[in-house]
Amino acid sequence: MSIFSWRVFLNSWPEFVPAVGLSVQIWTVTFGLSTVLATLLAIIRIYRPLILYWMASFFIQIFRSTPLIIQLYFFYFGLPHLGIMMSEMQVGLLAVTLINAAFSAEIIRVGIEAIHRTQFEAAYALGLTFFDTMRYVILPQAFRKIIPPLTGQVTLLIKGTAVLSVIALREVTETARALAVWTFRPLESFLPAIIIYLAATLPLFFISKVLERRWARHGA
Amino acid sequence: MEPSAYGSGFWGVSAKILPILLRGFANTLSYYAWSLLIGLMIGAVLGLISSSRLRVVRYPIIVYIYIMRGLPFLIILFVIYHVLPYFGVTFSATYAGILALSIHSGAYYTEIIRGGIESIHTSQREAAIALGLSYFHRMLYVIVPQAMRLILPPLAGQMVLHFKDTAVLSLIAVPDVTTVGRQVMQANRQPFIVFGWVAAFYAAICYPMLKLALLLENRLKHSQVRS
Repeated sequence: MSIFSWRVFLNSWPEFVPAVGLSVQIWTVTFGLSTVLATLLAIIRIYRPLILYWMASFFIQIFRSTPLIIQLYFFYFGLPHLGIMMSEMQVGLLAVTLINAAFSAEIIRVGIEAIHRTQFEAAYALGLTFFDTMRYVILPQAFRKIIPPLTGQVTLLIKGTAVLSVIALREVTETARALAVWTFRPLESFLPAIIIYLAATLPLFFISKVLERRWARHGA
Repeated sequence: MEPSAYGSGFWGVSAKILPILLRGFANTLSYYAWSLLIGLMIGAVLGLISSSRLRVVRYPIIVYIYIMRGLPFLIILFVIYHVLPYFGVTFSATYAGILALSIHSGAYYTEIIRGGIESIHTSQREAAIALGLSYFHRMLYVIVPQAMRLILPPLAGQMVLHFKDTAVLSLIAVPDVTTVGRQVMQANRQPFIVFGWVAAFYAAICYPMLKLALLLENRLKHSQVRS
């Protein structure tokens, strides 16, 4: 047997097509949902409405200080005990969304707090409602400021979803693992997964670096 | 076995499982301690080298950092545990786990330490050279003490992520608290109690570290002297 079989390597790619579809779906759906949730959490953390503030802080601390696997197990094995039946995909989306929201919330909070007070005052003077102030004045500026750390968080999100193979979701990592078992060629099975993950994450590093550098020069 | 063998009620079940979970947690802590030691050594050595002007060694280190930061920890773990034996390099699950944790978080530590050192203004370096300090003394007395304040907050944050990554080792069946928790849960069918305790163990370590990271960050933000 040769050390590297091009035939096995090339034949393994078609197996990854549905896996990439599933992974990309997980990344985009959880990113979208968690950004919305994180923005809400960040606004709650800044304006401190009594009970909501404690709930949001508790949620953020719990999800930041426990591993994703434990959260997955908690939902995957725990929810059926409460009579809530969810598919593996739903459990995966739920857990990844919640943990990513907990991390993004702190990033977004810092972004909003970095907006100068005069912006809030100007919006108030113009008679904008709270919702409109956020929607048209504050959040667009805040998100511009936090694109570099938020991009970093997206790479952590992408990396984190590999753990979903514990609940047997056929995403990229689980596909590579299964292929390695079928073909007895671990290198040729894992190499496509490595290439796929690097193709997803490396461009994000460079985008965030370029943006950071450009804004350091011109100011955000 | 009788169901009563697993205990009943929250405290009954907890009394049965806690000694087992604690043994698993001790393993988790030992994987963490070893990989933290190796990871920080990787970070310190590579961080110092890549902040120097040696271009030849700089680029391989950058490649290492980007590969480790770009790949999921689970993939790195699987490559070490499943792919390397194919080339005649075999590790036990425990050693594979510690090695994977070390080189994965070592890349992040390298990046943090390099960033901290490079952010010290070059006049500090020049002043130290003008005073006739050797490279070693320059680093020890001038650069590193100043860089430390910038390094510590992100380092503490990264150490939390590193600790949480130890849970992923359960996928190659090392006897850490996650593996043990899953086995216990499969026996007594009490996912909330079992994983509640496991989560509490992780949080007991991570929560104080996150608070510490925040404290260090605030102190840095409010300190007068910023490089």
